[in-house]
Amino acid sequence: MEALEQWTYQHLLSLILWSPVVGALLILLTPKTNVRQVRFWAHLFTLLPLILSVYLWIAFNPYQPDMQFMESLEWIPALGIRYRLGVDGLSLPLVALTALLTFVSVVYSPTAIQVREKEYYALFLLLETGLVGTFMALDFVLFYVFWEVSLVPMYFLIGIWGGPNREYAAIKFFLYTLVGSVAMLLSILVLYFNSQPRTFGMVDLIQQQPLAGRGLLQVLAFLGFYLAFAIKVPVFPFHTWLPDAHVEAPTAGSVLLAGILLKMGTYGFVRVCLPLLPEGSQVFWAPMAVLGLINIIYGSLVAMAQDDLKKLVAYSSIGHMGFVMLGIAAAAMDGGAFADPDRLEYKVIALNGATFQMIAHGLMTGAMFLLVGVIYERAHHRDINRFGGLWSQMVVYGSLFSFFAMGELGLPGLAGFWGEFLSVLGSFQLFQWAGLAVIGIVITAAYFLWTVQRMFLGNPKEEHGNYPDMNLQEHLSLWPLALFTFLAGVYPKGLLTIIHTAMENAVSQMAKVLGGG
Amino acid sequence: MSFKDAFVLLLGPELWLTYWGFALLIVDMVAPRTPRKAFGLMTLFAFIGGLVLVVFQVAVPDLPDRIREVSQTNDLLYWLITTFSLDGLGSFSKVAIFIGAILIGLVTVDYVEKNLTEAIPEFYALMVFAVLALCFMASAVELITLFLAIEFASISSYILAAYLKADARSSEAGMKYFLVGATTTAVGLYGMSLIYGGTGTTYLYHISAQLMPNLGQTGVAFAAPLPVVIGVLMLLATLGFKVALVPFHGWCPDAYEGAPTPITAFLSVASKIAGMAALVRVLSGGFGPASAGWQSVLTFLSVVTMTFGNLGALWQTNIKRLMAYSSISQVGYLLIGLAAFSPSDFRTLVGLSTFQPSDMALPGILYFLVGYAFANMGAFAIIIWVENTEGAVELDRFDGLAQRSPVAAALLTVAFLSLIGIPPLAGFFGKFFMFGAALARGLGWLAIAGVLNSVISAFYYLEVVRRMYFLAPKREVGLVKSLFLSSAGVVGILGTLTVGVLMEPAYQWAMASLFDVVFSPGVAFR
Repeated sequence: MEALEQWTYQHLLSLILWSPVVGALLILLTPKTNVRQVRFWAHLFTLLPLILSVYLWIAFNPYQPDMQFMESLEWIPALGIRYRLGVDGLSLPLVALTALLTFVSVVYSPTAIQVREKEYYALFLLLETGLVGTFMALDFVLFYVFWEVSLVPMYFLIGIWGGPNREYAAIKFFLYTLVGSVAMLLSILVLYFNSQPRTFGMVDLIQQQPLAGRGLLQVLAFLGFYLAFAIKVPVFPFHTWLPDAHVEAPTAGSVLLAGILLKMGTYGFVRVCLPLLPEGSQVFWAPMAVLGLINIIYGSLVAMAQDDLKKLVAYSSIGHMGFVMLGIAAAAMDGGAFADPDRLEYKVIALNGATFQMIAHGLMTGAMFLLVGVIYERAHHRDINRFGGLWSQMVVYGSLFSFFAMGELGLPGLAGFWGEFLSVLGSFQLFQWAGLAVIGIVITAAYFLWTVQRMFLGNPKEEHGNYPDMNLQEHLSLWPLALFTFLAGVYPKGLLTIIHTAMENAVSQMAKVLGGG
Repeated sequence: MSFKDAFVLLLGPELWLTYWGFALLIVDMVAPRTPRKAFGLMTLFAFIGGLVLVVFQVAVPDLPDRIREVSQTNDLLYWLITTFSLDGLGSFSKVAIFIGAILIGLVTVDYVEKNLTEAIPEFYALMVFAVLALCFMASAVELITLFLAIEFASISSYILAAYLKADARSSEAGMKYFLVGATTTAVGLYGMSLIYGGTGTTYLYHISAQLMPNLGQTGVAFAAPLPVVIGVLMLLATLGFKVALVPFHGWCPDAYEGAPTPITAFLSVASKIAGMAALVRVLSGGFGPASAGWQSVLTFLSVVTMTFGNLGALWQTNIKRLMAYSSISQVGYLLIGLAAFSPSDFRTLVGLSTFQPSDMALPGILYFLVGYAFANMGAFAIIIWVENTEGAVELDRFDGLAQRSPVAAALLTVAFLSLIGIPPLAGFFGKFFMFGAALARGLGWLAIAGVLNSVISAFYYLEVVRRMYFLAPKREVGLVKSLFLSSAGVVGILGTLTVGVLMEPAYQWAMASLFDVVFSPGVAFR
């Protein structure tokens, strides 16, 4: 028994990573008609990684800046490619978030998905492996493999179970992301050919800084990564795939798209661009900050103009991801900041905010998309103006919706507040015009309040008279998210302690290269 | 080792195929009632045996060296191995060719059953002879021998392409293939005469030894006598025709569309592998020191070929034509490896140094070919499967295939994902090496052209996937059961996956295969 525990402990990351694939294989072996069995496997094999990641969270040492639970096996020795996994304070919350959101999505799915369920759940589990792998991989080739593996199932999820315009949305999503990832591939190869000894290991490469002082080459490598990550985030003007994909995807697909896939981009910035290409990041800090602000303001303004509830949530994601980009830009900025311990601290604050925002946004937008799905299953439309007075008919639904809307608009005491607050606080100290982000916060508050008003307040309408309140699956999928949104809001320290260590490590790494600290 | 032993060991797979080719014809004569399927199985057996024999040749320790040793005292053998070499490059290519051939054999049986009515044993015999010719192409180290091998392969292929007598398109395929083939071979032959005029020899090892002083030169007059350079470029017409390189690709879409589908598969896989092997051997081996003369041309053609292939594929409504353009574009990627050829690669080819794993260019080509063979054959197995059921291969025949036959749809999807270059499939690592080689040689723009093309290619591959998964089926019936076709598909896809995930051995072997494939000019060889 103890041996088993030890073994589990040593291979914890691999277990979390591969158990969904096992589930997918079991589903493929189940006959198509045996839907109950298919659902059972899907639930079991998303619950398993969730339980394991809770264990991971508990066993994780938040004060240790290095990678933990490392696994390293030979894969392709000729090229120095290894099967390297590990988590730190940046990736641990994202891994846990992925496990949680995948599980609640699977719990929710039986309500919404009634056709071709076998394929659906198999792809869903495969998607989880791709996402978790992206956050765990510490080898660039492995990272790239998972990055691409997550692309394919999502293409099918949108294209098969999506809305009326699904085929267009699916191919647009695939091609956009592929453009970014092939650019990243070239940058990875550039890093490899400039490393000595040759390696694809992220940690080794960060130590080596192969492109330090290589001016143009570092800038080009940065741009390759930037394209991949910015498309994924998405940063204005690379965002046009997002409204299509998020709106057309089935509810559970949107949850993972908004909750996790967008974070792959911001994760990449913090994991790769900042510590590995600090000079390149520094060159582009101002454009990144400006684009972040555009994201915040433009995204919020466009969201305000939407009548389609799902589109509104989709555009609100663009706005919220702007705060993450703002924090990242603040960390990338130099102007002597790396020599000054105080301003170094602001960078850490801004990055803490950015990473906190990733998690908070994942929880809340995931919930928002589920809530959109709940009402869509009843009304079969999403036009905000056609709703009204829903609160009196669907009490729990109305309350939960308002709760998450408050979270999204950054109400202090809920998760959304801390990310935006810290990110703006940190960046404001470094460049005052970051304060423009406040405009976005105001607009966000405006449209979320207005949405709640239009949908839930006022006189009940005849056509929505007989909607039942949420069913069991919807309850089960939404309450955990509400719980964590609340917990992260009232006790942010639990999450921030973990994040802080990793962010401090990243900033000190940059400071080491850029000469200051 | 006596001469006889050396002879048999040297030519084992080729002799084996020759016997089987004739055996098929003789069996037909003496036992005309033999069931058709038996001929298919015999062909399959011939190909499997060929693969075993090649692997045996590789497994015998130091076989090439021992044969060379015997040739020191035997004129006939000496003459033989200076024209037909048993070396790593040849063996590796033959393994790839035989993998392709076995899968082609598997997909042929049911196709023949369904679509051919007469002259079936001859069909199989011609296939065996065509593969035999490809083996000679892969091993030829002398220009005239190479020319004969190419002609042998081409003539067999012309007949095979035109085999569906009742179908005008098949005749058109054979005719176009023949006309383009005849023209380009004539040009190539003239090129060979120029090379002979410039160097006084047709032996590749002589040529490379003569050009050796120019190794690494990039300066005036292409670092080689002008007639030689012109000759090489003319020779490129012949080899370019075999691999469907733009601008010698004109036959490709029509021939692919009209030919019996297994022959389409043969042209796009086995024939292309042999062509690439010859291209690598002649250009980087024989004319490696004069790389300044051909490299820039090839770099240009690489971009043109992949772009043309991908753009052309976008508009196709027939999957065989789509596969034709797709295979043109894949050659474009492969040529990146030759465009990234460097003088240090040549030093490995002549046995003066060994490859580092980061010298991705030439080993990458060989690895790419294996991955391509598996993925493309997997795709063709499914295409033939659909064709056998539906009687046509227009793209709309694939609508809703995922619900009619989930396994077939999944296999075709994986094959296409590999051709797009999605990891961890073999197609990804093939492109990975090509782009890596380009970047390592400072050809960043070529790598960028390559990745942009990959994105374009995703569009038309996914068009088929879209039809299979997103559209509703027009008919509810599944595909007709076929053990041969499904197993060919499964083998192809498992091969793509295995060669991709467990890439190390294939890559190591590819690296080792390229060591000392042109006789070391330094060695006093009589």
